Amino acid sequence: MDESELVERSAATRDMAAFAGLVRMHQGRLRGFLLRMTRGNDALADDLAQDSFLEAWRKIAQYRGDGPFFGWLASIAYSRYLMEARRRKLEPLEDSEEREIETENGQHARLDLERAMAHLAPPERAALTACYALGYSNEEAAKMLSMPLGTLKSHVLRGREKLQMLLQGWERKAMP
Amino acid sequence: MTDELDVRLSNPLPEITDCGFSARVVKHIAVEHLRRVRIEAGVMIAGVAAVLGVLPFTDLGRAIAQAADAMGASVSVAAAFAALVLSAVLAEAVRE
Repeated sequence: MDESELVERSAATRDMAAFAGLVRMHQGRLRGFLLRMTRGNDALADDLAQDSFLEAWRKIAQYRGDGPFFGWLASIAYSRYLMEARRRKLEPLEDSEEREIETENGQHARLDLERAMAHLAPPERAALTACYALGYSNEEAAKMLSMPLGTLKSHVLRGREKLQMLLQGWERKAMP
Repeated sequence: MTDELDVRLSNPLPEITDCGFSARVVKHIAVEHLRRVRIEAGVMIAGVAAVLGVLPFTDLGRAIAQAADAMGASVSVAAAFAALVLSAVLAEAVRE
Protein backbone atom coordinates (compact mmCIF):
# COMPACT_ATOMS: atom_id res chain seq x y z
CA MET A 1 0.00 0.00 0.00
CA ASP A 2 1.45 3.40 -0.88
CA GLU A 3 1.55 6.53 1.27
CA SER A 4 -1.57 8.20 -0.11
CA GLU A 5 -3.65 5.05 0.42
CA LEU A 6 -2.39 4.73 3.98
CA VAL A 7 -3.25 8.38 4.68
CA GLU A 8 -6.70 8.01 3.14
CA ARG A 9 -7.52 4.89 5.14
CA SER A 10 -6.19 6.38 8.37
CA ALA A 11 -8.31 9.50 7.92
CA ALA A 12 -11.49 7.97 6.51
CA THR A 13 -11.88 4.87 8.68
CA ARG A 14 -9.49 5.58 11.57
CA ASP A 15 -7.60 2.47 10.45
CA MET A 16 -4.87 2.00 13.05
CA ALA A 17 -2.99 -0.57 10.95
CA ALA A 18 -2.78 1.93 8.08
CA PHE A 19 -1.48 4.62 10.41
CA ALA A 20 1.06 2.14 11.80
CA GLY A 21 2.32 1.81 8.23
CA LEU A 22 2.80 5.58 8.06
CA VAL A 23 4.66 5.55 11.38
CA ARG A 24 7.02 2.85 10.11
CA MET A 25 7.48 4.70 6.83
CA HIS A 26 8.41 8.07 8.34
CA GLN A 27 9.81 7.41 11.82
CA GLY A 28 13.45 7.30 10.69
CA ARG A 29 13.41 10.68 8.96
CA LEU A 30 11.26 12.37 11.58
CA ARG A 31 13.52 11.21 14.38
CA GLY A 32 16.54 12.30 12.33
CA PHE A 33 15.02 15.76 11.90
CA LEU A 34 14.24 16.04 15.61
CA LEU A 35 17.65 14.69 16.56
CA ARG A 36 19.18 17.58 14.66
CA MET A 37 16.75 20.07 16.19
CA THR A 38 17.51 18.85 19.72
CA ARG A 39 21.25 18.92 19.01
CA GLY A 40 21.71 15.18 19.41
CA ASN A 41 19.47 14.61 22.44
CA ASP A 42 18.08 11.29 21.26
CA ALA A 43 15.78 10.69 24.25
CA LEU A 44 14.11 14.08 23.79
CA ALA A 45 13.97 13.60 20.01
CA ASP A 46 12.20 10.25 20.45
CA ASP A 47 9.72 11.69 22.97
CA LEU A 48 8.90 14.53 20.60
CA ALA A 49 8.57 12.15 17.65
CA GLN A 50 6.17 9.96 19.62
CA ASP A 51 4.06 12.97 20.66
CA SER A 52 4.07 14.22 17.07
CA PHE A 53 2.75 10.91 15.75
CA LEU A 54 0.04 10.89 18.42
CA GLU A 55 -1.01 14.41 17.44
CA ALA A 56 -0.92 13.44 13.77
CA TRP A 57 -3.25 10.51 14.51
CA ARG A 58 -5.70 12.84 16.26
CA LYS A 59 -5.57 15.44 13.48
CA ILE A 60 -5.14 13.26 10.40
CA ALA A 61 -8.55 14.27 9.04
CA GLN A 62 -7.20 17.85 8.85
CA TYR A 63 -4.43 16.87 6.41
CA ARG A 64 -5.70 18.02 3.04
CA GLY A 65 -2.99 16.50 0.88
CA ASP A 66 -1.88 19.87 -0.50
CA GLY A 67 1.78 19.18 0.31
CA PRO A 68 4.02 16.26 1.19
CA PHE A 69 2.70 14.19 4.10
CA PHE A 70 6.12 14.20 5.72
CA GLY A 71 6.13 18.01 5.58
CA TRP A 72 2.83 18.08 7.48
CA LEU A 73 4.23 15.62 10.01
CA ALA A 74 7.43 17.63 10.38
CA SER A 75 5.46 20.85 10.92
CA ILE A 76 3.72 19.19 13.89
CA ALA A 77 7.10 17.98 15.15
CA TYR A 78 8.68 21.42 14.74
CA SER A 79 5.93 23.19 16.68
CA ARG A 80 6.19 20.52 19.40
CA TYR A 81 9.94 21.11 19.51
CA LEU A 82 9.43 24.89 19.84
CA MET A 83 6.93 24.40 22.69
CA GLU A 84 9.32 22.05 24.47
CA ALA A 85 12.25 24.41 23.91
CA ARG A 86 10.25 27.27 25.47
CA ARG A 87 9.16 25.06 28.36
CA ARG A 88 12.64 23.78 29.08
CA LYS A 89 14.27 27.09 28.17
CA LEU A 90 16.62 25.38 25.72
CA GLU A 91 19.05 28.15 24.86
CA PRO A 92 21.67 28.44 22.14
CA LEU A 93 25.07 27.12 23.18
CA GLU A 94 26.82 29.31 25.75
CA ASP A 95 30.18 30.83 24.88
CA SER A 96 31.95 28.51 27.29
CA GLU A 97 30.38 25.45 25.67
CA GLU A 98 31.35 26.76 22.28
CA ARG A 99 34.98 27.24 23.29
CA GLU A 100 35.05 23.76 24.76
CA ILE A 101 33.82 22.22 21.55
CA GLU A 102 36.27 24.22 19.48
CA THR A 103 39.33 23.33 21.52
CA GLU A 104 38.47 19.71 22.21
CA ASN A 105 37.30 18.79 18.78
CA GLY A 106 39.16 21.23 16.58
CA GLN A 107 41.04 18.42 14.88
CA HIS A 108 37.92 16.51 13.94
CA ALA A 109 35.48 19.33 13.39
CA ARG A 110 36.29 19.85 9.72
CA LEU A 111 33.63 17.47 8.54
CA ASP A 112 31.40 17.80 11.51
CA LEU A 113 28.38 19.56 10.13
CA GLU A 114 26.14 18.42 12.96
CA ARG A 115 28.38 20.05 15.53
CA ALA A 116 28.31 23.28 13.57
CA MET A 117 24.55 23.02 13.13
CA ALA A 118 24.21 22.86 16.91
CA HIS A 119 25.48 26.46 17.08
CA LEU A 120 22.68 27.84 14.92
CA ALA A 121 19.40 29.23 16.20
CA PRO A 122 16.55 26.67 15.95
CA PRO A 123 14.76 28.41 13.04
CA GLU A 124 18.04 28.55 11.08
CA ARG A 125 18.70 24.88 11.73
CA ALA A 126 15.15 23.95 10.76
CA ALA A 127 15.17 26.12 7.63
CA LEU A 128 18.48 24.71 6.38
CA THR A 129 17.37 21.15 7.11
CA ALA A 130 14.04 21.58 5.35
CA CYS A 131 15.55 23.23 2.27
CA TYR A 132 18.65 21.06 1.90
CA ALA A 133 18.46 17.70 3.70
CA LEU A 134 14.71 17.23 3.17
CA GLY A 135 14.87 18.76 -0.29
CA TYR A 136 11.78 20.97 0.00
CA SER A 137 11.23 24.09 -2.05
CA ASN A 138 11.34 27.41 -0.18
CA GLU A 139 7.54 27.60 -0.33
CA GLU A 140 7.10 24.09 1.06
CA ALA A 141 9.68 24.71 3.78
CA ALA A 142 8.04 28.02 4.76
CA LYS A 143 4.69 26.26 5.06
CA MET A 144 6.19 23.40 7.03
CA LEU A 145 7.83 25.78 9.51
CA SER A 146 4.86 28.19 9.58
CA MET A 147 6.94 31.21 8.68
CA PRO A 148 6.70 33.80 5.90
CA LEU A 149 8.75 33.05 2.78
CA GLY A 150 11.01 36.07 3.31
CA THR A 151 11.76 35.03 6.88
CA LEU A 152 12.63 31.53 5.73
CA LYS A 153 15.01 32.85 3.09
CA SER A 154 16.78 35.09 5.59
CA HIS A 155 17.13 32.17 8.05
CA VAL A 156 18.67 30.05 5.28
CA LEU A 157 21.05 32.84 4.30
CA ARG A 158 22.09 33.66 7.86
CA GLY A 159 22.40 29.99 8.78
CA ARG A 160 24.66 29.28 5.80
CA GLU A 161 26.88 32.24 6.63
CA LYS A 162 27.25 31.13 10.23
CA LEU A 163 28.02 27.55 9.19
CA GLN A 164 30.60 28.73 6.72
CA MET A 165 32.33 30.88 9.33
CA LEU A 166 32.30 28.10 11.93
CA LEU A 167 33.56 25.40 9.57
CA GLN A 168 36.27 27.65 8.12
CA GLY A 169 37.38 28.63 11.62
CA TRP A 170 37.63 25.01 12.65
CA GLU A 171 39.49 24.12 9.46
CA ARG A 172 42.08 26.84 10.12
CA LYS A 173 42.55 25.55 13.68
CA ALA A 174 42.93 21.99 12.44
CA MET A 175 45.72 22.97 10.03
CA PRO A 176 49.23 22.24 11.37
CA MET B 1 33.72 26.19 0.39
CA THR B 2 30.23 27.29 -0.67
CA ASP B 3 29.79 24.32 -3.03
CA GLU B 4 31.24 21.97 -0.46
CA LEU B 5 28.87 23.32 2.17
CA ASP B 6 25.90 22.91 -0.18
CA VAL B 7 26.88 19.29 -0.79
CA ARG B 8 27.24 18.63 2.92
CA LEU B 9 23.93 20.29 3.70
CA SER B 10 22.16 18.36 0.97
CA ASN B 11 23.13 14.99 2.42
CA PRO B 12 19.95 13.30 3.59
CA LEU B 13 19.37 13.11 7.31
CA PRO B 14 20.71 9.92 8.83
CA GLU B 15 17.98 7.26 8.89
CA ILE B 16 17.43 6.09 12.44
CA THR B 17 16.66 2.39 12.79
CA ASP B 18 13.24 1.57 14.19
CA CYS B 19 14.30 -0.64 17.15
CA GLY B 20 10.72 -0.99 18.39
CA PHE B 21 9.88 2.72 18.14
CA SER B 22 6.93 2.23 15.76
CA ALA B 23 5.49 -0.52 17.95
CA ARG B 24 5.67 1.75 21.01
CA VAL B 25 3.94 4.59 19.14
CA VAL B 26 1.17 2.31 17.87
CA LYS B 27 0.68 0.91 21.38
CA HIS B 28 0.27 4.45 22.74
CA ILE B 29 -2.20 5.27 19.99
CA ALA B 30 -4.23 2.13 20.74
CA VAL B 31 -4.36 3.00 24.46
CA GLU B 32 -5.44 6.57 23.68
CA HIS B 33 -8.01 5.35 21.17
CA LEU B 34 -9.51 2.95 23.73
CA ARG B 35 -9.60 5.69 26.38
CA ARG B 36 -11.41 8.01 23.99
CA VAL B 37 -13.94 5.34 23.02
CA ARG B 38 -14.65 4.67 26.71
CA ILE B 39 -15.08 8.38 27.46
CA GLU B 40 -17.45 8.80 24.50
CA ALA B 41 -19.49 5.76 25.55
CA GLY B 42 -19.61 7.03 29.15
CA VAL B 43 -20.82 10.45 28.06
CA MET B 44 -23.47 8.90 25.83
CA ILE B 45 -24.74 6.55 28.58
CA ALA B 46 -24.84 9.43 31.08
CA GLY B 47 -26.79 11.55 28.57
CA VAL B 48 -29.32 8.81 27.84
CA ALA B 49 -29.72 8.06 31.57
CA ALA B 50 -30.31 11.75 32.30
CA VAL B 51 -32.94 12.01 29.55
CA LEU B 52 -34.68 8.78 30.68
CA GLY B 53 -34.65 9.97 34.29
CA VAL B 54 -36.30 13.29 33.51
CA LEU B 55 -38.56 12.36 30.59
CA PRO B 56 -41.46 10.73 32.56
CA PHE B 57 -41.96 13.96 34.52
CA THR B 58 -42.26 16.21 31.48
CA ASP B 59 -45.18 16.98 29.14
CA LEU B 60 -43.28 15.35 26.29
CA GLY B 61 -42.89 12.15 28.32
CA ARG B 62 -46.60 12.05 29.08
CA ALA B 63 -47.43 12.65 25.41
CA ILE B 64 -45.11 9.80 24.36
CA ALA B 65 -46.76 7.47 26.93
CA GLN B 66 -50.23 8.34 25.64
CA ALA B 67 -49.15 7.80 22.03
CA ALA B 68 -47.63 4.42 22.95
CA ASP B 69 -50.84 3.37 24.66
CA ALA B 70 -52.88 4.41 21.64
CA MET B 71 -50.56 2.58 19.27
CA GLY B 72 -50.68 -0.55 21.41
CA ALA B 73 -54.47 -0.55 21.24
CA SER B 74 -54.59 0.12 17.50
CA VAL B 75 -55.40 -2.80 15.18
CA SER B 76 -53.70 -1.21 12.18
CA VAL B 77 -50.38 -0.78 14.09
CA ALA B 78 -50.58 -4.41 15.24
CA ALA B 79 -51.20 -5.52 11.64
CA ALA B 80 -48.23 -3.47 10.42
CA PHE B 81 -45.94 -5.09 13.02
CA ALA B 82 -47.20 -8.53 12.07
CA ALA B 83 -46.47 -7.76 8.40
CA LEU B 84 -42.95 -6.63 9.31
CA VAL B 85 -42.24 -9.80 11.28
CA LEU B 86 -43.64 -12.00 8.51
CA SER B 87 -41.54 -10.24 5.84
CA ALA B 88 -38.40 -10.67 7.97
CA VAL B 89 -39.10 -14.40 8.44
CA LEU B 90 -39.79 -14.81 4.72
CA ALA B 91 -36.60 -12.93 3.76
CA GLU B 92 -34.57 -15.19 6.07
CA ALA B 93 -36.17 -18.29 4.59
CA VAL B 94 -35.43 -17.15 1.03
CA ARG B 95 -31.80 -16.36 1.97
CA GLU B 96 -31.34 -19.83 3.42
